[in-house]
Amino acid sequence: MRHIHTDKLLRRIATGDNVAFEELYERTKRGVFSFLHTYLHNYADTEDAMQTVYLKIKMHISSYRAGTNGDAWILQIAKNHALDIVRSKKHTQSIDDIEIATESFSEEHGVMDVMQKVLSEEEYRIMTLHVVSGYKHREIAEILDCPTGTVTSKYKRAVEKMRNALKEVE
Amino acid sequence: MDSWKKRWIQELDGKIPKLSEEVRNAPIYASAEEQPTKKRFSFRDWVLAHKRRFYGVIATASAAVATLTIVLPIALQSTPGTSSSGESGVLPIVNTASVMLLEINPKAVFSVDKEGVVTDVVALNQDADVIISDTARTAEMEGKTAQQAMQTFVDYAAKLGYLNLNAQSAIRVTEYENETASVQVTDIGASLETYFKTMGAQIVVVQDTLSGEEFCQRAGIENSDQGTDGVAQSLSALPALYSEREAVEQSPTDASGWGELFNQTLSIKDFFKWIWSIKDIISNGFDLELLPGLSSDPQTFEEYMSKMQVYLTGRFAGLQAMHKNIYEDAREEISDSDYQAYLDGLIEEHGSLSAYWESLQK
Repeated sequence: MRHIHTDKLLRRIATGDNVAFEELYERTKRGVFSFLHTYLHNYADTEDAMQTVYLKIKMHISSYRAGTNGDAWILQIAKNHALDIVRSKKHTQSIDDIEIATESFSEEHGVMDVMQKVLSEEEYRIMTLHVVSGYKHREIAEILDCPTGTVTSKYKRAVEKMRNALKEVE
Repeated sequence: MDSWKKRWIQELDGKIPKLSEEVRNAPIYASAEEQPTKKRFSFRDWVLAHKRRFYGVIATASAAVATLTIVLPIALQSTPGTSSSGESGVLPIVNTASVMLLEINPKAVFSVDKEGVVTDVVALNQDADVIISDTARTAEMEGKTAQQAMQTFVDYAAKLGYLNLNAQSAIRVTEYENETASVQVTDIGASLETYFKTMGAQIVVVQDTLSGEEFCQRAGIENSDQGTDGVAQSLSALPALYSEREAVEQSPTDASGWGELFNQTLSIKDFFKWIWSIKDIISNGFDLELLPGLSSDPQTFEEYMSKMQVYLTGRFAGLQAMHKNIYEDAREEISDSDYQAYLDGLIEEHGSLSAYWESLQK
């Protein structure tokens, strides 16, 4: 049902409907933001990436095939952009970047702070796609290109780690 | 939902930025008109649209029209896939989606697009869940031709012992009636018969065609008044696993309800006994350390499905190990004439292959 709604909004956007675009942002922002964060790990980069991803949706809307999975299409744009940033950061890591990352990390508190400390990147990503975006394990396996069994067992492990870690914090 | 998950969502919502003015005001590089949804082809509409032009041409060039009405039916009748409605000169060649039901037990329905490629495989019982629960196995079917996909499914059924290649048996393939479908049941039947002959298995492929309503009743799915395209579209929106659809349908309102549903669906005690009895022959594909996790009741839908997935993975690994010898048994390929003689014998005994299928279900 979610996919059908996103598809309808994307089709309206393809006709130039900016109201539909703003509605799409409201519907999908949480999932896209959290997904980007699993790659970028700091809020400054994630905020910037968010704006770029939605700009790319406007620029490339004509490449969206009506009737297909709009959520997956948006996530693909987000993933590609996040990987571009990660790759470019590897080449141009500067002291400023490290300071910004450290600053963001020290500002974080609560559950998200614990998640970044105790979970592997893949566990964090699987958890995000499932809890925040509501994807089924099978769908996550397709997005991340790994077996469903792996998604299920990593998700289970991530939940156990979080429960144990949060008991210690509290 | 666990309280920490709720806190996480709240924290997240506090961090998400508003849409910037720059992005809000940026132009949309849109197409010229609204992208249409895939519409079911309406033959009646097509004919009406072309008839108006057709009669216009008659008024100005009657000789050319006379030639057209003679040439077009001849050309189209010799082209495969032409509709046989009898209309002269205005019969389009149309390929539409196919929908096929495969019953072995397991039972699954396959959506096939107009290019003959499988777009969705939906399990209709828990045994089919065992086969399609892994995305790697589903990837061997979705995106492949209908013949390849259904042969892969049947082959897995044989590997898991649902189909004994050493015994006489039958499977049934039913198509949703559609004359213009890209793939017909006879195509699937021929492909599967070749598979069984090659494997040396005396297994019959019963082929059937049903009207939309009857098909959907047999498959236990919702009908659509938009034909195979409509059914294919609704199948694509369903969770592929039967277990998941059942869980969504039951949807207990409290945590204990999920535990009850899980214990009604599976006997964990029997499953543990079974897995433990064959643990020496389950090599790859199942981590025995996942078993203890099944002994606690799920509290949520996510936990329910997570445990169900572990069960399905274990079931697949166990069944494959148990039936490996039968599947890999040496069997001599069956010749076309011997296979036909076998079918003729069954028809003589039972009246028809469908009657033979029915006799096996009792």
